[in-house]
Parts: sequence; structure tokens; C-alpha cells
Amino acid sequence: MVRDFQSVIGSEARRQILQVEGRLPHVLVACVGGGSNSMGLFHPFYKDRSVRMIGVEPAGRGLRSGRHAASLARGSLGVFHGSKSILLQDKDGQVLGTHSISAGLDYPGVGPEHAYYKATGRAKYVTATDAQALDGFKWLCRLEGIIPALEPSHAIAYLKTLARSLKPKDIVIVCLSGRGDKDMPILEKALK
Amino acid sequence: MNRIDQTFARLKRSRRKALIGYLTAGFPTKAGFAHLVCALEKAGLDLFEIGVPFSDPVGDGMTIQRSSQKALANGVTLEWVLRAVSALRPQIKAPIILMSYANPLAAMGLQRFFARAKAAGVDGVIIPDLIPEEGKPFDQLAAKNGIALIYLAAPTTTRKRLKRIARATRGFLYAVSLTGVTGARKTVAAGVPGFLSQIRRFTSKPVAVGFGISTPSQVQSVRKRVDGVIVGSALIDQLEKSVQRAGVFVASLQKALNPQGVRHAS
Ligand SMILES: Cc1ncc(COP(=O)(O)O)c(C=O)c1O
Repeated sequence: MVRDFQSVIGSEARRQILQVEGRLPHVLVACVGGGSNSMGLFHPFYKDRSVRMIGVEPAGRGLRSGRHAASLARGSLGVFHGSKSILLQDKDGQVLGTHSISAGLDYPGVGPEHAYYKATGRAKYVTATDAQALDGFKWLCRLEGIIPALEPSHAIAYLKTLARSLKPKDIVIVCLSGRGDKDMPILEKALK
Repeated sequence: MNRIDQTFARLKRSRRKALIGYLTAGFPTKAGFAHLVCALEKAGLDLFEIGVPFSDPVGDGMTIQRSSQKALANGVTLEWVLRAVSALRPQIKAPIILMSYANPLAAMGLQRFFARAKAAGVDGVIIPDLIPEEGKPFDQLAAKNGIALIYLAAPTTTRKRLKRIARATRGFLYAVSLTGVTGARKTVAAGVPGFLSQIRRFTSKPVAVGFGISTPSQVQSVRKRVDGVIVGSALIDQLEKSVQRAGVFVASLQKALNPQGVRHAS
């Protein structure tokens, strides 16, 4: 249901990129908390086999620190909030506490369709730490004058890594799922 | 015949209604839990619903969230609950129903859980976040192990799903009195009588009503329409004060539920 509502993002992106560029993008990148903005972008491109999809999960203080919210990277199969999917849990099936600098990604589960995309290899999932997200944030502010929210700052951060494997003419669509105004108090502290 | 079926049949023969009490396993303490259950059976509980604490109890209000957190902090695990039930089983006559969200059961492995539950003497299982559409593997394993899998219906449940739930449930049908989470309420929701008679049209299985029931007068107001009443949060609220207060409370509910008096514990 969430995916269908959010798919406005992907349907419009797909139509517009075909209008403007006359071809499909090579890569889609979006941050993954519960998974709605990313699935909204990915799903309308599902059948476009040439389009790669990359979801960026929050690695918080680092995957090894235990203080993160990277469900797909570190979770296991379980039942949570009404669906069977991947989640961060202990051996007794208790849901683990999470951490991310972005409140919106600070969630121990993920929508089941992402678990499916991961299992089938349709999408790839990577992570970005709090520090990398802050870099991504600054980068977009300076380059484009756009203030992204801390959630999509994770997706922006991953572009640095991704760019190394791309050709100059390749098209990448990043979902800018929200604006950073809401994050100013956190940013003020973090960037001091 | 499952102990739950026997209990409802026996009560029905003496025109009595069942008082079902919810306790969070290992709350307020692990060490005192067996004693608590025995004391509350004496005070008037006919069946026990023992909650496996879960980190994210989405169907529960503040009281049970708090008791679950406390139980988890006490180190209660599904493993501990099964061992506790096994030790309790010979000490009480009342059926023991485990209430657990699906994930702790899935983490143990469904096959292993149901086999262990049977060995421990568990009579029924309630899984509040299990919908009948996903119930098949649970139904099969429960049936194989002689355990009643009890389904819930809410006032918002459509007729079509109610039919399905009525067919799937074993032991009794758990009628959720309100749209919301558990927790003591001052009155019974206005639509409850209509909801309960709607359920009766779909099943001849026992029906027990729960969620929000917390006073003798509420019990009186629903008793004629059901076979049992389930009390959870209000009981935990008393238990937070003392075991003795919880016992007095249970006795007052039993009296409101079965005003004709004399209860035989078997
Ligand atoms: C701006 C923004 N982006 C992303 C998310 C993450 O959610 P999801 O992964 O469901 O899109 C949130 C969540 O609150 C958000 O506020």
C-alpha cells in the first residue's frame, strides 16, 4: 500500500527522464529506512532490467559498533509490525534498539518487498555511516545549494563511491526524499 | 479433548462463565511467578493466559508494555516461560494459554516451539499479530500437538473474515471489545452487545471477550452474552500494588461473573 502511494515518485521520475533524456537511467539510488521512498522510486522501474537499483541503509556509528539501523545488512528473517521480512533482532526474537543520525532511518525493520528485491538480486543494498551522511549533506549544499534531509544525505553520500564505476554520460537518479530544514538542530550540533 | 474445551464444557454444565486472567510471564518477578499463578487460581481464575514478553507489543497499551519491559529486564525468555509452565502444570488445574507475538515463536522455530509447548503442558496459544490468512503452518502444528490456536476478532472485522476466524479458532473465539490496544477502560464500548451477537451467529464455539474489561460492573454488563471474560491490564495494575490486591480483585470479578455463587475448582 505504501509502495503504491509512494510510486508517484518513480512514475513521474520515469516519465520525466524519458522526456528530457530520451532514455532510461542507469542507476537509481535512495535511502532505506522502512523502505517507502526507495520502493516508490524503484518499483515503476522494476521491469526495466537495465536499470540498477541501490538502496542505502544507515550504518550509524559503523556496522561493527552495533549502533546502526541497517536491517538488510545485519538483520534476519522475522515477523514485525505485521509483515514477514528482515529485521534487527536478538536470538530470542526480541527487536533490537537502533541508532542513526537521521530519525527517519532509525528503524529496525524494512518493508518485505525490499527483502525480496535483495534476495532476488533485483536491487543492491549498501550502507553509509552518520559521518558519511554528514559529508553527503555538505556536498549537496555546496554544489547545488540544495539542503537535503539527513535521510537522503545517506544516498547522496553513496554517490561518491558509485561515481567511480560510472561513465560521464551515465544517468543516475537519486531520490531526495526530504529537505534538511527539519534537521537543523541536529546538524547544528553535529557540524560544530 | 483439550483442557480448554473440557473447562468450557464443565462450566457450561453448571451454568457458569469462565474468568480468564492475563499475566505477563515472570512479572513482577521470576521467582514469585509460580506462587502468583497458584494464588490467583485459588482466588477465582478459571483459565490462565500467560504472556511471553516482547520488545514491541503492538497490540498492548501502557500497562502491558510496562510489565513486558520489566519481564524482559528480569531476563524472561520464551525458553524460561516454557520451563515455568512445565513446573506449573502439575500445580494447577486451570488450562494454560500462552500469549505470544509471532516473532519470538518464529525465532525458536515453529516446529520446535509447538513440540516444546506440548511437552510443557501448554493447552492453547494466542498470537495477536497472526492473521488467519497466514495461519496455516501454525494451525497444522498446533493441531498436531493437541494445542488450541485461538484467533481474535475485532469490532471492525468484516463478516467474511469473521466467518473464517470462527472456523479457524480452537478452544474459544477471542472477541476484542474495542478498536485499540489493551488497557483498562472505564466502560465497555457501546457496540459490544451487537458485536457479540454478530459473532454468535457465526459460531457455536465458546466466545470470550477481552480488552479493556476492568471492573466488576463491566463484567456484569457483558456476562450474559459470552462464555468467558478476559482480564489483563486491570489485573496487572493490581499486581503492581501487591499479589494480595490482585487476589481480592480476581475474587470480586469472579463474583460479578457468576453471582449464583459456589465455584468448584475442578
Ligand atoms: C525525509 C525522509 N526520508 C526517508 C525516510 C525514511 O523512510 P523510508 O525508508 O520509508 O522512505 C524518512 C522517514 O521518516 C524521512 O523523513
